[in-house]
Amino acid sequence: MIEFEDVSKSFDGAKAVDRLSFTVAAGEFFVLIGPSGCGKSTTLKMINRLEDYTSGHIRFAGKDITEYPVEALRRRIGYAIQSVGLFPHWTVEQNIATVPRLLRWPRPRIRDRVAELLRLLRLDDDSRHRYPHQLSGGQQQRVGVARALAADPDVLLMDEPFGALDPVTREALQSEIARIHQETKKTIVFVTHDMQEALRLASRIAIMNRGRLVQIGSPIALVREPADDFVRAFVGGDDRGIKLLSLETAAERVRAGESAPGPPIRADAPLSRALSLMIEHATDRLPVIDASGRPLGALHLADFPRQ
Amino acid sequence: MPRNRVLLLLFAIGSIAAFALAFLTLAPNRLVSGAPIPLSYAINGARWLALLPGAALLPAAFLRRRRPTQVYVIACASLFLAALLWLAGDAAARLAAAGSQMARISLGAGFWLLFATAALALSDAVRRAFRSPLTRIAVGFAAALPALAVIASGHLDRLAIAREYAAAHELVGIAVVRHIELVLGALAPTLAIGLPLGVLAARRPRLRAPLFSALNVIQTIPSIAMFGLLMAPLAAIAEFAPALPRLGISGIGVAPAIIALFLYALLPIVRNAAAGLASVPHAVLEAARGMGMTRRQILWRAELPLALPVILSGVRITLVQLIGLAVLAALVGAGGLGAIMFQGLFADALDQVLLGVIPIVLMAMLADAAMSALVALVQQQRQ
Amino acid sequence: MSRPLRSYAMYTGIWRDPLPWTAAAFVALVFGMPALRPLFAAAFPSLERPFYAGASFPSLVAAHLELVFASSAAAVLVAVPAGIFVTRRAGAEFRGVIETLVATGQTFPPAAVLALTVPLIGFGAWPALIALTLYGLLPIVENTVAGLEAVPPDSLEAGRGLGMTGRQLLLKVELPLAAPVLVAGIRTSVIINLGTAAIASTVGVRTLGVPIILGLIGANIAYVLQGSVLVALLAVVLDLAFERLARALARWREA
Repeated sequence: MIEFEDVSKSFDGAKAVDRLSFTVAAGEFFVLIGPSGCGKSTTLKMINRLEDYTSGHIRFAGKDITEYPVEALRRRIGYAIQSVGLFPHWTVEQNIATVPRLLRWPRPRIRDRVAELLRLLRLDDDSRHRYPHQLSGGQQQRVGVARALAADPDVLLMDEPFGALDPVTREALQSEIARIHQETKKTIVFVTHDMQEALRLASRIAIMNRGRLVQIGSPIALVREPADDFVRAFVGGDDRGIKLLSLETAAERVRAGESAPGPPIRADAPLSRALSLMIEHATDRLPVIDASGRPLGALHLADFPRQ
Repeated sequence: MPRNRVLLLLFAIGSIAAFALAFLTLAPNRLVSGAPIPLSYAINGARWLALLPGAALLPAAFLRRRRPTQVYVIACASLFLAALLWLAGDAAARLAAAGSQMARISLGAGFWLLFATAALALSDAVRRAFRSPLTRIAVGFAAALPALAVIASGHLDRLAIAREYAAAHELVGIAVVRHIELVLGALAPTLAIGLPLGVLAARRPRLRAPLFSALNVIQTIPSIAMFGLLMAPLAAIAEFAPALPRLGISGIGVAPAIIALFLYALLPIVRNAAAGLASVPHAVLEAARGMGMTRRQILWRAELPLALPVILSGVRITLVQLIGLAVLAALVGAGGLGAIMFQGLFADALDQVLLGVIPIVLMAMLADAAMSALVALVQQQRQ
Repeated sequence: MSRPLRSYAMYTGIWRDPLPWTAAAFVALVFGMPALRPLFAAAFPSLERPFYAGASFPSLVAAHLELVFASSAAAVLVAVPAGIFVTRRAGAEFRGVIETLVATGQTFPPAAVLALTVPLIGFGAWPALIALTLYGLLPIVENTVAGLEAVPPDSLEAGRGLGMTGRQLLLKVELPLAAPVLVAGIRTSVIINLGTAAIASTVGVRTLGVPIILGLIGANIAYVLQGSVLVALLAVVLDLAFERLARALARWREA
């Protein structure tokens, strides 16, 4: 879907991005991560040409991005930023309808689409007529994501969208975006500096440092086989084991048919959650249930380390 | 590739004005309008060299925008302003020698536009080169010195404006003094009443809305109407108490003028005093109270000093506003520079109008610069 | 709020809102001034002519408003595009010069601009119009720039990222958000012009200033009062009207 080929960008002689090459496949949740100043935001903004690159090629849906008229390109790509940037003088409905109105969709279609998106982002239907300053930070960001998705873009770009929110809201929105990704199968390119967030959401992670791509791979690959010391330290040296646990689910270790006393854990919950529950309740096994609450089996602490 | 489009544009406007418009105008007497004298007359012989500093500005539009370039522009513009004045004075002298005593030689539109574009180029360069307001004021002043020197040397004596000044300089002096009297005479009661009002407004939010509503209504009323509205009651009071006109309080003259100026000056002072006090951080007030200071001590030792920059800013706005408003005081018989300006207006004599306007503008600029410098100094001391 | 309570609030609101009754008072005074003639005669027994009858007050008001609106419209047509230009990337260079011009212009009292244009162009309506337009440019440019700069940059970034063109951003986001500040600038400009238009009667323009100036020259305080009251009321009415407009433009803020 998106191809970077040897892309570089210099600001006043200093290289912000240095010969970047990678591909984002359709439907992937692709995360760009790295320390401050590594060039991840700049890289993201080069995709929708909010920043221009100095050399190399960027291709979107097969064509070079310079071949698209720039506004047409941006209207096919959703964009959500940390400070949200809702238009204060427009209602929630008008904000979400921004791109559809630019594309001159008929009114009924816009209204239906807004209702659909409000449902998708779990917002009340009567928040339609509210103004941004009447919403909480979390609600504003939900509107921001809805606005980015309104015209059904092929790709969604997100620049540290949850960074300004409190931890509880951040967690809730992370779950939302993971769910939305599953439901809509959109390609998402997500920038963050929070490793936990990246490991939780990504299908593939690209780690950048000082403008260069250091390693690219699935979350488990990055945790198990870091390419160098920098990656190892960045991914989190001391608790790599716990991080590995957070990447696997109870379903992958469950002993089917068995039963166990104690609080149940859902099959799709990460093992790190199971560990936490076990310690809290001073037990070494938990019953596993599926999404509708039916028992599936038992989880044993002894099974956690993989052979 | 031009790097400084502003300079280029100013240069273009100045050049066109220089050659298309009259540099000076020559009228055989006061009643007839003047015939245009082009720049070519002024620069005959070797005098064209005087234009060089101006021409030297053009290449600067294509140089890199670093500070040395801006300093170069400042120097050239400064010399050019002086050279323009010198050319004008020299041409006027030659015209006067060739003509009659009653001839009026005035500065033409071409001169003014050239002067204005050069001055703007100068101010733009000062802005680009220096950040701190104090430095900017100092450099600007230094750059104005060559031009001031030419004026002070008496070189421009043959120009009508200089002759008007020579003939009326006592009157101008009196007018300036009266003007300053009016401004300061209104500023003093404003500070005495307005500052306490501002403190009150900051302390009692309930008072704020009606107070500012009233002050806003006063500000909305055009000054001429305000003067007019005050005249009737003051005249009535003067009739009932004959002692007052002897003190100078009557329907016309200084009384309605100062009262009106005072009313207009209230809003900026009260507003800035209230805003300044409101900007004092809560933590400071709590600490002061915790240390056992009385309300009064807190006000004088903590709040007012911290609110000072904002208050001084209000004084600056007020001063400039008053200097402008006092112009109309002449219409109610209070004198001041407005009297000279209106006399010139009724006599259709631009030079006399200028004789009134230029001191006003200079005073306003000086007051503005002085107060800005004061505010900057106070703020620097804080740092 | 319950129904009866709401209609009560509306009813009392009419009295609390000053605009309608100030406007009514103004209109009443303009047309009813001749009825007050005996009042002025009684208040100023020493004056031979206590009532200005050179022209009807309604006609003076009309001429005054014509001058003010014409010059303000011209000022808006020049100043707003100039303010927009200076906040675009292409025009940012010119910002300093424009600011210097505005600041310098403000050291000139409005009467001075009038006093300078007349000897250059002559007496009459045209130099007055030009002077008022020139002076009216300043607050509008200043406020246009201030209003546009106060637009939250995040909204602009989001707008651009979503695919709005520069022109769409300007028309749909920046100008609506800057409108209250812009209108405040126009308000300041109009009110100042109102006062200066009164002084323009010194250069032969027919405005409400005629009775005032005639009164000042001829020591006729009654004339001065008649003119001043009308000018003052007119200014207050226009100011209130503008405040209404500004609030309507920022209605979303009060939700």
